[in-house]
Amino acid sequence: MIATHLPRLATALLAGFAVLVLAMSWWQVVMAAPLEARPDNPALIAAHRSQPRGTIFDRQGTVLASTAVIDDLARRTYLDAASTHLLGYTSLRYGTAGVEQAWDELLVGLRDPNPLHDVVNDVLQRPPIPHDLVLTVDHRMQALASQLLAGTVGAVVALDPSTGEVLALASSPTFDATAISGDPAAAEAPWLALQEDPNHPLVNRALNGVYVPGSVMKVLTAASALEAGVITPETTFPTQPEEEVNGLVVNGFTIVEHDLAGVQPALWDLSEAMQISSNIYFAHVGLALGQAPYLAGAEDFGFCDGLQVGPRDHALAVSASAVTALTDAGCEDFVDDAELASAAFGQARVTATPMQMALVAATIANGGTMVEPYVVQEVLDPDPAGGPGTVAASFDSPLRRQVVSRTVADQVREVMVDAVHGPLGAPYAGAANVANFGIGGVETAGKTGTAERGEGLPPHSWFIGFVPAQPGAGPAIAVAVIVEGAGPGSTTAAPIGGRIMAEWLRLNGS
Amino acid sequence: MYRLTARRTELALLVPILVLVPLGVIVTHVAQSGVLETGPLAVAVAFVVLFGVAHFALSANGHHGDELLLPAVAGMSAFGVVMLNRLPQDLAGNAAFGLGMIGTQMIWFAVGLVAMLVVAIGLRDDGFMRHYKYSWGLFAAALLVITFLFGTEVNGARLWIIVGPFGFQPSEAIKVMLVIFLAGYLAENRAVLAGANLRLGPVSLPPLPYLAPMLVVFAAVMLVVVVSRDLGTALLFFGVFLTMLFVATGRRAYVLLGMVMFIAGSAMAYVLFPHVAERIDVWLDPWADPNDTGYQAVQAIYAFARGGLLGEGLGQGLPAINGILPIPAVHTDMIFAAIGEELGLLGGVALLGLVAVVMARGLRIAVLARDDFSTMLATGLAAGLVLQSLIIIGGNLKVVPLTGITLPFVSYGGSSLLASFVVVGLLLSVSHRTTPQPAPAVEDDP
Amino acid sequence: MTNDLLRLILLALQLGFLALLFIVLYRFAKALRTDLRQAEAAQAASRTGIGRLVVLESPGGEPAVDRVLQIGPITTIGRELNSTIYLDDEFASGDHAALTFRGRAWYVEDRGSTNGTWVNGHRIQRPVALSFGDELTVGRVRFRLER
Repeated sequence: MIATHLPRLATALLAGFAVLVLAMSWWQVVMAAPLEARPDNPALIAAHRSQPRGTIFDRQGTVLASTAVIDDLARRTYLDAASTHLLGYTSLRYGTAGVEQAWDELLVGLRDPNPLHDVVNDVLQRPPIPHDLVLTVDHRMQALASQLLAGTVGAVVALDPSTGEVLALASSPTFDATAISGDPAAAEAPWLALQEDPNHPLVNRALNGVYVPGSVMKVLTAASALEAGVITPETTFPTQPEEEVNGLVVNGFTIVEHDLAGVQPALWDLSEAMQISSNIYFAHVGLALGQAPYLAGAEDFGFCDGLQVGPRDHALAVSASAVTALTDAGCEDFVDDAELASAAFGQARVTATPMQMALVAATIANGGTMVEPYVVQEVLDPDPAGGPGTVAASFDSPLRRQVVSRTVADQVREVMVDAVHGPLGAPYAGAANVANFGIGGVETAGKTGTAERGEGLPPHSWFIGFVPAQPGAGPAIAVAVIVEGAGPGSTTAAPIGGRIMAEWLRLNGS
Repeated sequence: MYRLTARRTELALLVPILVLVPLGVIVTHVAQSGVLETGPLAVAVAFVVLFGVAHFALSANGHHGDELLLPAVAGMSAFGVVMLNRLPQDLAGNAAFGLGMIGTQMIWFAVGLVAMLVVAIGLRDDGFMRHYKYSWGLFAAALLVITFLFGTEVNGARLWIIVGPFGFQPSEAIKVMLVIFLAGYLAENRAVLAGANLRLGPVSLPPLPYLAPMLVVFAAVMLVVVVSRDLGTALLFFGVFLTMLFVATGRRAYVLLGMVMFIAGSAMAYVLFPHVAERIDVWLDPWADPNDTGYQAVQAIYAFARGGLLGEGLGQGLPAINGILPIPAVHTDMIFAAIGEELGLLGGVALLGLVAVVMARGLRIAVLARDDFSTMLATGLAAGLVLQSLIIIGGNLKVVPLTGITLPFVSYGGSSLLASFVVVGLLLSVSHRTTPQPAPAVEDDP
Repeated sequence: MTNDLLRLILLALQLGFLALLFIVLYRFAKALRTDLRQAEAAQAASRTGIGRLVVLESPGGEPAVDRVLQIGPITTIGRELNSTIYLDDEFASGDHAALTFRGRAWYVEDRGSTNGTWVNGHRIQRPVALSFGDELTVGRVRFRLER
């Protein structure tokens, strides 16, 4: 009978209905969030294209980036190229970067800093309200850093050691973000030029440049060894003077000293070894500490894992610094003691970002407590009248933690002060002394690095340091400076670091 | 006046739907303009009057056809009227009469409902259908050939016959004719087709002479449809054919064989016809070319994603980009994407629920019918409406390749609306003949 | 704030629209269920057989036009009084035709009648399968086979 086949037909058609309901659930519930986040989502593009975007201010209220809507097209204008790598860009065609990317939803107004407002806005379908940002950086510092780096390839990071505020963050070469942030058609030529530039100006070297640290790593080695109790500031290694001349053999591999520039080897303690930057001395320190404790100490300072600047959901990502090779689980073990001995003075497979090394300096400056950095201090509700908005949300450091004890930090601080002011150190890190830049009565702590990159390549020039460094003075600024292929740290990076630290003290009334 | 419980149930179901339309029209107007006005209610009043009149006409004639069909169709129509009223009116419409999109559509609603009433009430005998099945089949084929030869090309497919200010899509009428032909043929030859006496490997087939006339007519139709690039219609016709063949014979082998043939045919079409290949490529990966060929599919998916569970809210979806609506053909093929965006998963499920009601009632009419022709006719007509809805909704949702067919009662388009209402009229008429005459009403006594 | 008030009203109306949609669906579901119950009851009441013959034309008046005859699996038709269906028609033979229900279908065979048995206007030469809706002519009496 025909009638008996109809229920089977109904079942088949109902299966079709079920498939459609499943497909709807897939797109409308399961995939809704991932689709909304896709950069080619037309709603996002439309919002970006014609919507005003929040203004970005520096800590003084200087406008770093602002938007004007002309002919339904939002045009982003940046004050200058000094802060390009920190702020990023907002291209309709090439996406966003930097703070513009990390804080995009708030800048455009797709989200509100207050989750309750967020719900109300969403339910009532209010139009997006762009929010303004206030950064921790000072444009005058940005301009100075950018000016000092001009013509070189390198980066500067300056932090407030006690608060984690990023005071300056610059990468060189820089570029004009305004050119690629307006009309998407006009952005193509400058974008292609940036992509083809052999110096890779699009890379933010301050956060994502990973460099051999060289001797600046000795600060970390010293701190870890002191913390573990395997050395004291008075520790000497009896065979060290002889090995300065003939080399130290570890596992059949001979470690040789760098050019001591006429200084006669002697039985050096920690301060003298830091001043002269003795590779042999720090190789002994590393060996005394051992492979696993060395790795653990470096990890305490943030190595072997990606760092972040700012709160987790708006973080600027920092590339991971490494002691050996990076794996998903962190750094792998040292191959042997020869590698450990070289890593202890910042060679072998050690790599570090300028942000990581600035954090090492800031941690020592702050009595051993690491204050994680952040760059956006306030989100402002816009003022309908056009004036300064009201604060909608404030941020401070996402995390503070004790890395080494205050005693150890003080001991390292003292040897870093010696490295700048001491008789053996002055020829090197002395170039960073803020006294050279008109700031008197302040002790400077610092360490230079000359990172060897192998045969034929000029070494990277490093400096890390902080001021004021005399006992009892609260530190004001810690810096890390790298200039690629610029030779010894003492000639290039150290004066830049000193100049930046001096400028900050001057701006704050010293 | 309400002697029949059937018509009383019908009215009870119609009332909330007739409230739905004014509510939807006001909501979309407020959402779009930000002011509360009564002006746009004219469309809603027209809708209420039209369906109200249709109900009272059935009632006054003592029609005891199915009581859920008209309300279910009204519910589907309500979605269409609310959405089309809310979309920009210059998307379509008949400029010759100075009517915007919704005005034109309301005229077609009136024409469609009148046609439905004429068929439902006026059709006392179905002999002219069952006795002239070959004429219907040949007429369908002829109409198709005429369209192919003299039709006007719109969007790459030659589907329109345009006479003066009027244009119509013959494929909608052909669909109905084809169902009448197949119903007549299958009702007559059912017994032979159900018994197998020709074995072809593992598949047993009925004697070819019995199968041939049907296959010839059908193959001719399919060929013309595919050549004229009307892929959605081809899929729909094939689906209706297999459905009716299965119900007539109860043999899954036919369905399997048909599907194998369809897949083979599709593979061949993929190689032979670039427009088929393009549709299928877009279906497999719309993001391969999201700004050109895949644009429509990708935008529909984004619309669904924006909608979520509860929707963006009536009148608040479809953000225009540079003044252009995001989804091409949003008033016809892609209207379900707009419904999914503004009413969310829940709204889409509600619309599917109404389609399911149409299916349930259509098949119920088929089961209750007293003769094979009526059963096959009701099956084919109901399956046509349901499969058409499933195919185009599935196309919007990227379940099947997107093809250009309308969502019955919801999409803009006069031919589709008229044909769909005629189908409802035919179903009502079958149902009316099936239901036993009730006892004479008390009021008839002096 | 008035803007927000309008938005709030709009939201309520939008949710109201969705709610009304589901009220409509609920009422459909209820109607379908009620109908199913009635259909079951009706089917139980009318579970009389496997088919019926509706009399379309009968010049002799027996059986009367529009009568509905429920038929069993073996039904004979003719002028003999002990035929299952008795015809008062001089063009019909005594034992004219027989309807049998075999498997899933009805078959009709001619029992050697003088004027023959006709299905849909064609005289049958051997037993043929019938479809519901087919017209059967015995003598001058015309039937339609229905479910």
